[in-house]
Amino acid sequence: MTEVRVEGLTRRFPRTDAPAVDDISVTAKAGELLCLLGPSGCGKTTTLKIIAGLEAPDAGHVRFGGRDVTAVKPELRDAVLVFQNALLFPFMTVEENVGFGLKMRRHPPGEIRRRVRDMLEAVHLTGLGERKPEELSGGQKQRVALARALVLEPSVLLLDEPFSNLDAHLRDEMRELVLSLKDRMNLTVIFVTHDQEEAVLLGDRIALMFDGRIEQVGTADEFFRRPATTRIAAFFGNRNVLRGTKRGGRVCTAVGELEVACSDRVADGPVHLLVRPEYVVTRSSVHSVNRVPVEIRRTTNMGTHLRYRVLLDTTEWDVHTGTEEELAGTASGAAPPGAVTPSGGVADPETPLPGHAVSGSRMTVQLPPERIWLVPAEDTD
Amino acid sequence: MTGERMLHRAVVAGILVAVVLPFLPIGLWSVGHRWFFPQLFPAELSVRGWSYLVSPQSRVLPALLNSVVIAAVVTLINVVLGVPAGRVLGTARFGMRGGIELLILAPLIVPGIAVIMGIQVVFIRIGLADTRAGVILAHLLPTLPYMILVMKGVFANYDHNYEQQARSLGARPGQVFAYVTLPSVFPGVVVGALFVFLVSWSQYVLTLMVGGGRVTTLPVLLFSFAGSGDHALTAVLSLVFVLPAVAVLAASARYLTGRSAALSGLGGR
Repeated sequence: MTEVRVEGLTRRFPRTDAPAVDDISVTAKAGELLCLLGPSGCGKTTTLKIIAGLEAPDAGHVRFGGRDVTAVKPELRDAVLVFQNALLFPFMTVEENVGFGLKMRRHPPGEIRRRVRDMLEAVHLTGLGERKPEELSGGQKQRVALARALVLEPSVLLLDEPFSNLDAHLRDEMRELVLSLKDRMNLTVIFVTHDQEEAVLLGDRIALMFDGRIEQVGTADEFFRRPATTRIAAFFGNRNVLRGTKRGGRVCTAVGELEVACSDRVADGPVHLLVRPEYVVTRSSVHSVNRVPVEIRRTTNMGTHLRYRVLLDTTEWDVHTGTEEELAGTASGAAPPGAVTPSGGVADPETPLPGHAVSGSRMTVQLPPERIWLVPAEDTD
Repeated sequence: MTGERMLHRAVVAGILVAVVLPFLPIGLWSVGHRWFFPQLFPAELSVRGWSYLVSPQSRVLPALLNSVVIAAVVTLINVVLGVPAGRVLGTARFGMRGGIELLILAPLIVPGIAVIMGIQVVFIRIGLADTRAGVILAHLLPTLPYMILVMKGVFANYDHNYEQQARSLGARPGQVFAYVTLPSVFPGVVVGALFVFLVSWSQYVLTLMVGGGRVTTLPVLLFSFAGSGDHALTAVLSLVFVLPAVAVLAASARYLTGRSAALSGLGGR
C-alpha cells in the first residue's frame, strides 16, 4: 500500500497562462479511496494526469509513499490510469489488451497468459479473451480496461470517471467491483468524478475541487453537515441559505432572530445560515424557537418523502419531510394541500397523501438550533 | 428487400462492365496480327507482342524494374515524411498551420510541368539530371501533398488518449509508436502509400523531363511504342502496365475491408 501525496501542484494552460490546477495539496492515504470531485473543467482530470505522469506540473511535487516521483516517467510509475472511455486497442483481442502492459514490461509469454486469465476471472470475463473490443458491451469494455490496469498489480490505481458512460445498474455493479478489488489488491485509489452521489458511494474521503483549487477535503458526512462554503453546500444538495448577522448565540435575519447551537465556531458578523432540507421541521414539535413562516410554492410526493418548495422571506428553500411523519403530525399552521387529519400516527395505505400540487398556502416551519450550520459570508455571494 | 438486392447486383455488374470492357479490345490488340477497319475481330492472331516482352533484347523488363524501384522508393520516402507531417498537421494547433498547409498543397495547384524546367536546371548543375535519384525526387512533387493530406485526415480522427493509456500501462515512447500508433494508423498509411505508388507508377512527364529519356520507365516506353504505331506491342505494354496496379488494389481492398473496423474504432466515439 502506498500513500499518494500531492504538494503545491500547479499547471497552467499553455495559451492563456491561467492556472488549470492552482496550488493543490492533497493526500490519499495508503489503501484509501480518495474521490476527486468537482464540476467539469475544474482541473480534476489534469490533476489525475499529473499524478499518472502523463502531464508535467509547472510547480509542485507528487510523492508515492514518500518518494518524489514528479520527474519519473509514466511507464515507470507504480500507478495506472483508466480513462473515461475504455480505450481498448481495437486491433487487439481482449486477452492481448489485458496482457499489453505485461508484454511492454517484457514478462515471459507463459506468465502473461496465466496472469491475464486470472485477471479476466477476477472481473468476471472468463471466456471472452478471444473477442475483439467491438464485440463487447460498454460494461464489459470498462471491465477489460480495469483488468488491463490491475493485471500490472500497481499500488496506485487512478480512475477518471470510468463509469460515467454506463447505465445506472451497471455503474453500481462496477463500483462494487472496484471496491472489492481495491481491498483484495491493497490498492490506493484516486477516483475522479463530477457525480456527488458516486463520490459519496465510493470515497473513503472526498476532495472537492472548484476552479482548479481544492475547496474542502473530508468524509461525505462532513460535506453534508459541515460544508465550508455555501457553494460546497449547494454542490451537496443544500441550497437553503439565509443571510444574517451573528451576535453570540443568535443570528439576526430578515425573518427575525434565530437561535443557533454552534455559535463559537464562527466569529460574530455577517454569516450565511444553512439548514439541510431534511432537517427543517414542518410538524409541531418540542421546539418553540426559530419558528419561521413560509409560503408553499409546490408540494411533491416523492414516495419516500414529501418535498416542499417554499419561499422563506425572499429565497426559495427545499423542505423534505417523511410521509409517515407528515401523517403523524400535520404541519403547523395551515395544513398542506390534500393533507389529511392524522389518525393514530400510522399511515393508512387507503389514506391518500398529497401528490403533486401547486399552491400559495402558508405554513410555519422550525429551524432546530442544533441543525443550523453557519459559514462566514463570502464577499462574492 | 429483393428489389434492393437486384439493384445492388445491377450496379455491381455495371461497374464491372465499365472497368473490364475497355480491356477487351486491348487484349485483342495484343494478339491481333492484321486487323483492319471493317473487321470486328483480327484476321490473324500472333504472339509477337508477348514474345517480344520476354525476349532478351526486350526493353520492357528493365523498364518494369525501373518503374517498380522508383515507385517503391518514392512510396517509402512518402511514408517516412508523410506520417510525421500528417500527425503534426492533424493534431497540433499552432499559428502557422494554415500557411504551412497551403505551402504543402501548392504543388497540387501549380502544374508540375511549370516548375520542372527550373528544377531540371538545378538538377543538371548538381548532377541529378538523367538519374534515377533525380526522377525519384521529382516524383515526390505530385505525391507528397496527397500523402500528407491523407495522413492528416487519419490523425485528425485519432484519439491521442490511446497513447497516453499505453504510456500509463508501461509502454516506453518507442513501444507506444510500434504497438499503438502504427497499428492504429496503418490502414490509413496503406491507403496513402497505395495512392502514392500508383501516382508515381503512371508518371510520364516528370520522368521524361528529369530522366532525359535515359531513365526508362514503363510509361516512357509505352508512349514511345504508341508513337511508333506498333499496336500489338502497345497493347501488350498497356496490359503489363495495368496488371500490377490491379493486383495491388485488389489485395489492399481485401486487407482494408478486414481492417475497416480497426479504422473506425479509433475514430473517436
